[in-house]
Amino acid sequence: MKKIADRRGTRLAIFLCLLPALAIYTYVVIVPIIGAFRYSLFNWSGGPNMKYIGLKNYQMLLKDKNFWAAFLNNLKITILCVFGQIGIAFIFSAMLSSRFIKLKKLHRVVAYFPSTISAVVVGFAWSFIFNYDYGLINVILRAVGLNDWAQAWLNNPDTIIGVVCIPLIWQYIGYYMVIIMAAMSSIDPSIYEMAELDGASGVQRALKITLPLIKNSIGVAVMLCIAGNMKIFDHIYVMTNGGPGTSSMVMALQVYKTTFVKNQFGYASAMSIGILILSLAIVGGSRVLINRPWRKERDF
Amino acid sequence: MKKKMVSMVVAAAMITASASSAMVQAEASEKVTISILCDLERANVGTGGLDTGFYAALDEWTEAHPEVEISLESMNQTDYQTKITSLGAANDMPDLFMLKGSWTKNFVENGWIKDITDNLDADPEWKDGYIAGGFDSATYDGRIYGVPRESLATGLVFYNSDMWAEIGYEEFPSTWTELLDAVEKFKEAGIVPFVMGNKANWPAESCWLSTLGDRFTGSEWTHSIINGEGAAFTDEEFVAALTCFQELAEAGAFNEDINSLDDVEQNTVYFNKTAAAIVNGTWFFATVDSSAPDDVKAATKLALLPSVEGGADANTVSGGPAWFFSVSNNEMDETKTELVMDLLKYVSDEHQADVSASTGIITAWANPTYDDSNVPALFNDYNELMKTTTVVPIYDATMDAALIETMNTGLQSLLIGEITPEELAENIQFEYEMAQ
Repeated sequence: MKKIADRRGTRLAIFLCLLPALAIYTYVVIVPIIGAFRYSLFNWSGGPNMKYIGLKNYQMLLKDKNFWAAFLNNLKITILCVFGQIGIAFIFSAMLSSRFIKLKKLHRVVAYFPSTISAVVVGFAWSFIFNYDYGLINVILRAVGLNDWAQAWLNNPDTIIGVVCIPLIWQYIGYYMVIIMAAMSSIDPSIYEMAELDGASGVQRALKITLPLIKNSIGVAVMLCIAGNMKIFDHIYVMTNGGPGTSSMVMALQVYKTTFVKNQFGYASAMSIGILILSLAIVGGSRVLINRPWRKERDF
Repeated sequence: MKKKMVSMVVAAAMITASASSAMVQAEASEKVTISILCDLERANVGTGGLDTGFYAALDEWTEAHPEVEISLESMNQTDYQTKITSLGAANDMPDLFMLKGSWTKNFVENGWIKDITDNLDADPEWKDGYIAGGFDSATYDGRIYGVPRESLATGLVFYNSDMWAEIGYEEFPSTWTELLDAVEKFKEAGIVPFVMGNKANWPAESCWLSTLGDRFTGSEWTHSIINGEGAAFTDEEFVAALTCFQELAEAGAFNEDINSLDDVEQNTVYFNKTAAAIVNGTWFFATVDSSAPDDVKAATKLALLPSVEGGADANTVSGGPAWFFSVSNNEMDETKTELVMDLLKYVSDEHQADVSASTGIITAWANPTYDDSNVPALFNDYNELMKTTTVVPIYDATMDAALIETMNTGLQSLLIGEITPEELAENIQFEYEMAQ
């Protein structure tokens, strides 16, 4: 009997300890989401006049070409970033954990440094780099005689998504490198020694040993990357403001513009709920793909 | 149980403490506080813009009213637009704020803004001090909600007359055909004919299309659009204006990086003679005066966009007051209302306008007193030019904000050939019908 009472006591203690965090989380996350859902049922321009229109905003959202184009842009950016950020971070981590690299700590610090800068600063710095007249890229291209290659980098709607991804990838490589290196350090070094004795090359060791052993950490990194890129806003806002036209428009920026430029608060709330659902679906989908629950234990 | 009691007591104590401190605060402030939110910054005093005149008037008034405490918050225009909308949504409007003409309908319908018609009628000297039509964009259903600030002209051509003389144009072209010919010649010489920094996406519409559109449609069409009297964006004339604009871009009239250059960077391109002309607003006078190299400053002349074949009157420029001083609908007692209205008058009448005019800013106050020997040279040229020029509406100062956003982003695509004029016209019309 005493045991059960004890367990109850522990549970109560856990609950009490979690309560403050839970309360704050509810207040800053759950309540606003419920609020946004309520607003999304109204035709509301921000003032006291709110007209209940049921699910009309959602009907409009389903047919809104611009919103789905923005969603597609988010997807493109996410795919480029998952491969760019995590892929390059994995290569760098593998290189840094090999014996041939000197000054490992310095490399680590330098690679992590961009993640500490504010997104707006990164956006501005890269707009200067992409500038047509005095930007670093064009200056170098012209200096080496490749005048034809110099172009207005942020002006071409066909390539703009790729171009805005460069700073994004650059900024977060270090962040994922830290996660991946932490995972790598937990691998028993004797495994590598054995592989080396068996004559496995560096690339083989990375792909056949490291990668499978840190699969869970990669999964977490992919999830973080997807979640981060579904809500991407500041870089794009600073570099292109969604332009030229709407070719680099992303969902969060569209919500911002719908709210504060077009003054359609109700419709923007419906968009936010749409983003929430789409993001949850994609993150959930990626978890399923990584964990593959339909595979049997012996397949691993 | 005991713990619960303790926590309740603590909570109760905290509530009483905060309540009593609020009471203490209320007792201590016998001063009347007037909150102001504006897009005019003290840091910009002396560099052109309305900032100089506004702060001169505000400081004078504050000094004369020691019983009033001014709580002022200022920021740049882009941030201001976001902030004021958020404050409105949070029902936390400042007492005195700046209203953009295109917001009037929305702000009035939401009850954020005070009807000042009676105050103006009671003081005819104040009301009649402004240029004709000065209150138009801040009028809704026959009631007035704001006092005009600057009287802008947004679509003026500033051209470097030396550079145009070199390709054989002593004067700025007066027909569109001549203009296209000049574009060709500049391109051969490796010079950008017109620079436009359209990253923030309003210059193409506010500075170019508001005037270029009028060349084709005439201002009757524009007024019909504003008042919802039957005109449509899909009308032939408007589509023709868009087509003409796109063809100008296709002919190479603009810089390569038109959509990634911003509206400050564009000035530099004109100042370092990479571009031969720029279409900009009256605010550019002071910028030329303070920032342009001497030779560019001396060579810069003013012109209007040329006439188009079969078009309307070509002696027009988009302009008029776009921004207004307004008072919010906050609850105020009689003393405060009187003070706020007095302040509103002081920052909008000659106390502000005279100072502004002497720095080359055109306000909506009809006859400011200033010394015309000290103002930027372009300011005097402008006053001369306006004697024969009619002012037509600026699109983004008079039309619905959602429609303008569609037009602005669409123009970015139009100028790089991503969308046809017909498609853009349909998109704008769709948004227009939604807003009606």
